[in-house]
Amino acid sequence: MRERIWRRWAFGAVAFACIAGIVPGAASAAEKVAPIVPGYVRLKDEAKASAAEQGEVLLGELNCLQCHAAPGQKRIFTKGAPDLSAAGSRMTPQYIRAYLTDNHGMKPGTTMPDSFHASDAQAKEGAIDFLTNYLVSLGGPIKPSGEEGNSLMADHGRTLFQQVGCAACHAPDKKANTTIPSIPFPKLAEKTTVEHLAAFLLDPAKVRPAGRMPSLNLTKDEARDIAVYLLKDQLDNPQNKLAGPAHTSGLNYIYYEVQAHTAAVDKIDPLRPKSKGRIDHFGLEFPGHRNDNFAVKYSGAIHIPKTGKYTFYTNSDDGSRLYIGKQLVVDNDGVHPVGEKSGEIELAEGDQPITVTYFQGGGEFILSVSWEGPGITKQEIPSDVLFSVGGVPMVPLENEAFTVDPQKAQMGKMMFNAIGCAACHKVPGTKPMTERKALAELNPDAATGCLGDQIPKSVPNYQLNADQRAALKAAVKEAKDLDKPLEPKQEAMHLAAAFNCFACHARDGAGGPTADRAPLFVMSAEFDMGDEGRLPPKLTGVGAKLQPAAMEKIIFENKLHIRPVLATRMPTFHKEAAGAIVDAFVKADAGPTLPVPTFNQIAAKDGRTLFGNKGLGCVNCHGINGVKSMGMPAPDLGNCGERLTYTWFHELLVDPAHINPATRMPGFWPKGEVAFKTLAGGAEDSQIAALWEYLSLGKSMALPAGLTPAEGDELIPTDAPIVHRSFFPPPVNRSISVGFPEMVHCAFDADTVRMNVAWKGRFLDARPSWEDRGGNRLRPLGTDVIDMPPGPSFAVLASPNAEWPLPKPTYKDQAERNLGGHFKGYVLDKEDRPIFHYILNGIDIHEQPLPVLKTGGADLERKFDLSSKQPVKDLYFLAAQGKQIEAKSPGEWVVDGKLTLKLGAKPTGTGQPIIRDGDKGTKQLLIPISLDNGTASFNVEMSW
Amino acid sequence: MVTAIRQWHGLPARALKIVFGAVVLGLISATAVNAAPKPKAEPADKSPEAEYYKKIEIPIPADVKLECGGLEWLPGGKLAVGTRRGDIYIVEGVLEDPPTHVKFTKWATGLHEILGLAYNKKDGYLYACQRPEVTRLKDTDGRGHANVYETFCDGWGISGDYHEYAMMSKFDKEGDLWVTLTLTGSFTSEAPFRGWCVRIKPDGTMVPTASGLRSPGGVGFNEKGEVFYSENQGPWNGADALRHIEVGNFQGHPIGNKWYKLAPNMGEQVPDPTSGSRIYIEAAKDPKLVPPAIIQPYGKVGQSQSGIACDMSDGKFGPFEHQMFCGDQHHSNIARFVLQTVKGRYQGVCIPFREGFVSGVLPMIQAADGSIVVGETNRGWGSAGPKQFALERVVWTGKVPFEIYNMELTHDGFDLTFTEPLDTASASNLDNYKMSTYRYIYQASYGSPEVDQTTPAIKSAKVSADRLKVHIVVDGLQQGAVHELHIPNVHSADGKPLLHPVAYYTLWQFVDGDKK
Repeated sequence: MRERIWRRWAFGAVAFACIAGIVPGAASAAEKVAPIVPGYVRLKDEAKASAAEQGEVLLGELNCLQCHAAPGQKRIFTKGAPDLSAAGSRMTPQYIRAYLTDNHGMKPGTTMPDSFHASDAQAKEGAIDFLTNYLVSLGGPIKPSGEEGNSLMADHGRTLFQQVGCAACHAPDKKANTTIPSIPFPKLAEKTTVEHLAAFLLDPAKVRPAGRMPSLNLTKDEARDIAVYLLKDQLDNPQNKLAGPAHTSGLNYIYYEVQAHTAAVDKIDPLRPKSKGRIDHFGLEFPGHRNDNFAVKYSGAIHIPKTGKYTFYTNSDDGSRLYIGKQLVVDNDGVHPVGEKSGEIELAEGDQPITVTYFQGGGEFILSVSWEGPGITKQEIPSDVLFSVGGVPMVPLENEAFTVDPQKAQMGKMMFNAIGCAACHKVPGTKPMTERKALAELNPDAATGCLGDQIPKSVPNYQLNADQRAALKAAVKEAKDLDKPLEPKQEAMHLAAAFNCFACHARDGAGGPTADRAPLFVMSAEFDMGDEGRLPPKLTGVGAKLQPAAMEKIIFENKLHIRPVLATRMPTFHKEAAGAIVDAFVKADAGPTLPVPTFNQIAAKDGRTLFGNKGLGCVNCHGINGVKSMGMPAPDLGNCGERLTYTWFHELLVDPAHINPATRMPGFWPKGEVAFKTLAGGAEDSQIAALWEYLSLGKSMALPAGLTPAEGDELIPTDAPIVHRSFFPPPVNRSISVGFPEMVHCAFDADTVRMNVAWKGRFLDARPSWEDRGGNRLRPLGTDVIDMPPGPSFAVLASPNAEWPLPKPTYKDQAERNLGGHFKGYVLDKEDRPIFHYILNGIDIHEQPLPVLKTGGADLERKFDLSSKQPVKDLYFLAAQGKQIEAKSPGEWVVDGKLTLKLGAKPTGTGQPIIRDGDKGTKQLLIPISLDNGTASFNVEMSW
Repeated sequence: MVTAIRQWHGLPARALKIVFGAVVLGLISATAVNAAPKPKAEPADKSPEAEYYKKIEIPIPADVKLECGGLEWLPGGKLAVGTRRGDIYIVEGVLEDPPTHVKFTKWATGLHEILGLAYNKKDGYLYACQRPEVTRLKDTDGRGHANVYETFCDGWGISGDYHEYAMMSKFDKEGDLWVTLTLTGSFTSEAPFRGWCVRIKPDGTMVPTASGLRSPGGVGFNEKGEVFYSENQGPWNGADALRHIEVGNFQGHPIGNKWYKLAPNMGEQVPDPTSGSRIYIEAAKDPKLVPPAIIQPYGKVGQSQSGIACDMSDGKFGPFEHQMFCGDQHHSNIARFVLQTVKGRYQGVCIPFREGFVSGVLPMIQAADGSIVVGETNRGWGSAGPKQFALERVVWTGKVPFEIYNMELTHDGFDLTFTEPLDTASASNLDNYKMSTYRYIYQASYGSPEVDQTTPAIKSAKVSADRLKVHIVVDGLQQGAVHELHIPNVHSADGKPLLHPVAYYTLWQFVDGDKK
């Protein structure tokens, strides 16, 4: 045994010496596909860039500078290579070996060079054995596949692959011969499992930090289906049947529509299922369930990480039960409001069958399931320990059992450093050992070398074609110029080539869907919008069109997308890799700018009229903040002010066809003629400015005439505020929500007598309290929710240090319930904005929340008027509570770095504000109030 | 195409363009004031009741979700309708027949499930009962909708459960409002006065008035102005019933009795009744415990008793002057309730009256012309009538139906009175009278089957000289039981069968001796 190991060892060592040594060898003979860099082809064929420019892009995409240093260079965006630090966990051993043996054969067009192209066959085999052992040792061998697949998933995956944007870079079908070469796939079905490929699709930058492959913002299900499509050869792998049953992530659920009174499994099992499906946790977030009289049974297995005593909890309304195997562990059955029960059980490490049953009668419906055990603090059972067993997994082709030989792996690691793998691939603890000439010292015209006709054994073989070699040679010849930064326009083009923006977008004569791929770009809605409805926008001039912050959000954060009608998605790029692109576009497209109009409420109002159907009729095509247009689904302009530059907006409105010759948008001031002379100064420029000011309100834009919210129970304030009473969270049983057309809202708690919460964006969906028996709590629909201090707004304190009163779950009388005074109702002012009235210790308090319009949205102001016939002592207003309250300037504070509070001008009756310690490590901002002349009046502006 | 249509319509092209444009752009829809659509031809009302009491459905504009929770008349013959969604509409033209000029105006909005409206002539406010409070509303700036929403009384608590409804009467003779407060759930009372009736004095103060309520479906007055409410089957309630509320009494469901500690005016907390007993037995032990006045036998007449009206129309609503009418949300019908005082407590008879409402009947109110306006909604419970909500009116056609007018207990049986003279032969035939009795268990668990069944014998049936009355002598009257009487073969003098040949008499106390 020992001898045999040594024999193999010696054999490998010889191979190592042969490969690492500088032995002249023959050039590759076989006809192989040259490395595919679509952006380089775009520059060459469409942008007609110089050979040196093309070469610069190739120097980056082929990672030349990883070996040939070019210190101080400013023009090359080196790609780098996949992170192999967990290579073994996601690639099969057989694939690693096969790929290293013939990478150009396994993945024609790969940008990875062949390091063994001239090696002696035996030496090569030994070396690859070392490397395979090493790479598999990095987190491997890959776990057996558990995912079950089917042809429906594969078909869905194919549709997604072709439409969402994958096929803009990759071949739409395996055999497609595309005008612009397609980024190749290796033999994926041999390489990996559905789990790993789906995980990669969800976050490509984790494995490929170069960021050339962006995230297409897929859902988990979409990623899985695309993975099944790409691995569909595995569906027929005869090895599938030999594998154990699939351990598919997620649970099976069965849904029943029934008037149940118990969750007992023997009562639920005989029922007729209404639907079935899969869900990744115990919860009610599955589609199509109604709100009362239903039951659900979840079944699957749970992975118990360690033998010991486990406590399971169910929290439900109405009843639920949890079984491990057939043993009932948690009995939380019966009709009841939300409540938690638990049960304990001794469990051995391993997988245990688990079943949870639940039923809902009427009212609220809630289910969550938690556990606690050795090393696990009480928490909801995470989806990664839940799975189900059954079905046939998709096993990688040619699957083989593999045990890592640690000695070989050690040799493989040395080889990984020695032959230069480590130059491009990052693995902790490795570094390249090869010394190569600096780029400037290379002789591009040498007959031997990477670019020569003869490629020596010591030099990796890229399979470059003649054009590529010519381009690289041209670039290497001008290597001395690499320290000069690119011209902004060039830099923008280089980056667009490197990240293949050109696959979807045209810019300055290059890029955009080619004729063969154009049919893949389709509209997701039925409407005649021509190419505007299906093709991604041009990038020509984009740096002057979009605000830089908006570009960041669009490119790197999956935000501000405005073209949902395009089936193709704007992917999200990895900012670490592609971050330079925003600045490059901005610089490349810089030009003269117009001053942004100063915000003016009257102009914004006129802008709203112009936008509506009694004005220019923008609403015919454009919607606002999710409310659909009256006709064509042109981009929603709710985030216009955040997205566009004013200069571009102005230019577009003056002459839309000048910006986009194919646009369906008409000009509204033909030859400067004004149709609505009484609005916004009656001139073209001032009306464009007014439209801009209206659009700059963002979420706070009141809807223009012509747009009506969709039928439904969502409450959308349009012309006047909406006052709406309901139950509200946290348990506020007498909530009065106020929604303003300016899309800033608040909710008042008439029991504790306090402002409870403020928010922006959408107001409320009244459905929960308007369906069934009406017991559900409404929640803010919008975002940017600010929780107000928990106690009453006003209180009389025995001393400035006395605790601020807090509501208790039970109370002995009304005064204890109505801590902030007795609520007396509200009066609507002329604009239907409510003024709340409450009486605390004989002090009449009127409070009016009001929207404050400003560019970018609206904030909220709370206006207070107090009066009392009796003298008032020790009255305080609790303005804010938070972990941190910082005074910004006199009368201005920042709470938790998020909310700015400002005491309005000329307050009367307010004393010196106090910041003090509150409950549970909080800070409180108190304003003492005195009613010296029987009155006090002040306002507090909240901005966030 | 436009030309062709123009020729067909005989309209000028410009007018057509406007109509087309408006339709295309969806402009012909919402306006603040809604003219109701023309009433559609409903399928003919086939109920035999329709000949005497016809229903008129008030057309509701498409964008008005009129889930009726409260009805009240305003000056000028306008009807205020409060909805479960929290709006108050003012409806004009309700009493039109057919209703062709009905107009809906949204007058107030944003309230929390309105179950009761009351207009106060003295102060001009409309009082609306929401889940957490009674609010009074007024339009003080003449803009056509309420701008003052003043909290009038919020003396009770609410914990946020759907079951916590608050339902309000009109003003009583004292100027008080009576509010019945549903329990938190069938079995719980999580906030003060859940399961109580409270009165609100004219100054807005709240006076705890009666305990033991479960799930009221309506509250109203009899002809004397005494207060009654509809109770629903559930724990401690074997069947739905019309119940009389007097100051200080206990209606039988003990879970809310913990709030006696907050109601010193109510005296000592009543003792908990014994579960599994009969309510007349428990009531004999505790003078504060009041059995229901008239039981509405569960499943037979209805199963979700709701709004209450009393005929005060001086004959404009037909022959049933001063009798009471209760709706049933589930059965989409209305039954008649006739009270009788025996030994100082109410008991009496329940007789079916009118069925076939298009949604679940909730509030009811009588109009100046004698008709009864019926507000309807079925959300959350379902109803025999298929619509989600409706507003209908029951109008007497002027024809008197042949009906059991009343069934009153005597010392030895019952006096049955009729709306028309009887056929003496059929009314004297003992075989034509079928009586059975049953009780309900008074218990903590939900509802009750009919128990303690008996079949008393009818010993004689004597028709009065004017042939409007029969005195039946019954052997085996049962205390605490419903006496269910079927007389399908008793005919009128001109040979008609009874429109409803059934009556359900709730007997708590016997009539002593013969005073004749």
